Amino acid sequence: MINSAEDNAIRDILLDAAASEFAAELSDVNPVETSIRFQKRMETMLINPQRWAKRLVQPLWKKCIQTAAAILLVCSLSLGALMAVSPTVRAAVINWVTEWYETYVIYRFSGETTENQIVPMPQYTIADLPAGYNTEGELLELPNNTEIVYGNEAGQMLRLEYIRMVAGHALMIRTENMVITDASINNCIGQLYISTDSTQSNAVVWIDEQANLQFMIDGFVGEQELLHMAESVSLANLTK
Amino acid sequence: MLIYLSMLETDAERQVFLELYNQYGNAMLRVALRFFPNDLSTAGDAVQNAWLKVVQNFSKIQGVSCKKRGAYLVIIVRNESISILRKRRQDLPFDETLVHEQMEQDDAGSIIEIIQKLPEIYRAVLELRFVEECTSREIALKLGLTESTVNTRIHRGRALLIEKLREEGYVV
Repeated sequence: MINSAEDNAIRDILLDAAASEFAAELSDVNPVETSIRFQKRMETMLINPQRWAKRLVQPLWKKCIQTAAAILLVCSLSLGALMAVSPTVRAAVINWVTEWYETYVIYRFSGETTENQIVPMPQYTIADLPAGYNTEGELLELPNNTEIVYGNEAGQMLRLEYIRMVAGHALMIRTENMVITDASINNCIGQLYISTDSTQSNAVVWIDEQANLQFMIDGFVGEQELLHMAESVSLANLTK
Repeated sequence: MLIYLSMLETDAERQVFLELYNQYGNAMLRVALRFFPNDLSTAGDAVQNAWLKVVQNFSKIQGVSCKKRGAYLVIIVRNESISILRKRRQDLPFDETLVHEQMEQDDAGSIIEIIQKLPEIYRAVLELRFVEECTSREIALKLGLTESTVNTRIHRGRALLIEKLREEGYVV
């Protein structure tokens, strides 16, 4: 929080500097030509800014993944297992367990590290997207984690995320307002998380042991659509 | 879901939001186009991200005086544009030593001129902290910097700006 008089003075002077620098932009009343897509996005926003924002931001359980990753990073460091967070693949079998708690589920990975080899993340895609959805923005790639966002003209979003199963890491999913059922995705074990709250997205999660990856799709779509998309997830380009 | 508590809750707030959009929507696009002059799509993304921040932090914007709200929105969209550039690895490099030397030696200019001469990324750190009230971690993630770098820049930048503010009589 900004509290002191000095910090308030800094804020005011930064605002004044911006107003001065962008005076031309601020005083120009002529409309800027924009794409139909952008106009539709803005129309959706103006109809109900709150709902628009909720749909646009990452769902809460996605934030939990990041929190869990951060916590586990600390654990890994304290154990001297620095390489657990590097872009490497181990010549070891990674085991995983699912831990069920009252308000969340944790998928925890374990195994032994014997050898390191730098390997880029493979590139997967949802082959059968619901009508109107296209890739939105840029692919987010981290050493052990890839996220692809899809959107439609109404501003609705879908996410495909897959993480490499690395010993010492875990994925946490918050389960408030969720009905969880087991699912099978192309013979891989998974779970469906269907929300009873219309402002919260649904998700499907599954583990592909052969690929050593855990996949997730979430979005404001129904159970059957989620399953259909999950089954269509396929390798787009091995070498990227 | 605490994150949404400060979002627009009432019709009156939605009306204020609509007025902001009508008054500054085009200006925000123009600011984004400064950063992406040949890429209307990315400029639109920056503006969309900026409006998202406005919705999420609406109580903060209501705390800004009406005459400064345009500048507040300009800062948000400018920093969203810089964040996109950083994510694309289009570095906005600068020599930190030179920045401080310039700030310390540029006695001839007013504080506003000094701020306007700051490299984009350095100014973004200060704006994100003192205008948008982001934490060091949030700034680090947004700009692809380490937290310690962010803290150093805030600490040094704050000290230098306060010195100038005192010189010019803005604070006692």
